[in-house]
Amino acid sequence: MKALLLLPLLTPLLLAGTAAHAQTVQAAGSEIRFVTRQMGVPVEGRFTRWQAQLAFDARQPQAATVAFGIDTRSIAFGAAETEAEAATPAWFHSAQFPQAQFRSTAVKALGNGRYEVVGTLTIKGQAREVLVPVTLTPGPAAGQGTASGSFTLKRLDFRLGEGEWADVSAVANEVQVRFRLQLSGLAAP
Amino acid sequence: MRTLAALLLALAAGPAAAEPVSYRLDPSHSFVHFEWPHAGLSTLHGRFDKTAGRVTLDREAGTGGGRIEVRLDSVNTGRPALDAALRQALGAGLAVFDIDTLRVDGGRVLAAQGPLRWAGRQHTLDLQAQRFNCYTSPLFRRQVCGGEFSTTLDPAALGLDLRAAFGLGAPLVLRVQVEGVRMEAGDEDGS
Repeated sequence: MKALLLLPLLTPLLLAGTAAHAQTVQAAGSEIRFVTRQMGVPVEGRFTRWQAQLAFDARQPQAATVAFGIDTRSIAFGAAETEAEAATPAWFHSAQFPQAQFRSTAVKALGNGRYEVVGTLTIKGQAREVLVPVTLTPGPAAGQGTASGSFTLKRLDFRLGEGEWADVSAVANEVQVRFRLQLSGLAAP
Repeated sequence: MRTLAALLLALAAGPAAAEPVSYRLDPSHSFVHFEWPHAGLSTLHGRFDKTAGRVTLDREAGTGGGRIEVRLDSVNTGRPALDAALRQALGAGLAVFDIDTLRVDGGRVLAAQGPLRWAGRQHTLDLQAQRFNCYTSPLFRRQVCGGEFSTTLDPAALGLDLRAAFGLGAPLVLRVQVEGVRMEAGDEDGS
């Protein structure tokens, strides 16, 4: 039953994976990080388990699709106490919402390797549209490249930090998400 | 030879150039706990959940000061009904502890003295450290200093008499669990 429910979610990912110009994300050198502020002090975390499916052709960027699945239990701060707190119902409620997802709905080329990706980010069952600027840098080898970018989300939009944690003077509402993806399988432009 | 003397002087002057550092209390590791004798029998243990403040410390010069504010309506004994009654008795204001003097030895805070103000009353507290240390926090990736402090007082000194209503007498022991994150230029003022 659970598998059946997941099927509609997985279908676009499978389609993306079988597109003519699907890329592979190399785990080495790729990362999804985020920075929030606690008491005004920057606190950095990352997710260690996630998958990405990309289908991108520089000649047809508007047809590109991007999908992410992020294991919310893989959150890492370098502090076990904080990681345990992040999994609780007040934050990611990881037992009930083990995966956060992003699915692109539109990709626009801005020139010079810069793109604007609009998509739906779903965390803790809350779906919000986000605009993600992406820079694609080719190399080092043929067919390889680095996609990087950052965007800011508001944690309360996703009910991250409920109850006493809703106080944005303790933990800021703004969370900056930074990503870098090492890609292979890029078609020559 | 003159150069060597100048170099030695410069080296000697080095550590003295340390400046006072400001620390902001980490609310998830800073709580004021209390131990209040009940009817001459057991001890009521509880804490105030919400504490905020800043402390300035010059570990080289051995000086410092600061302010710690405790939200009285955040009283937490683990029994919601008792907490509601205590909130009525204590009110919704702040208890403010102004640290006038920090006693520091070898870079460690040994004691903190200053007036505690509550509901128009004032009583000088003398908090003694059972422990004090600094380390680099893996979460904040910067210096965090903190310790465990305690003091004993007669609640009557603050005009606080809960003997008749709650059977809570004297002396009242306060235990302060406190950690402060080193502030740096560019930090947002989130307080």
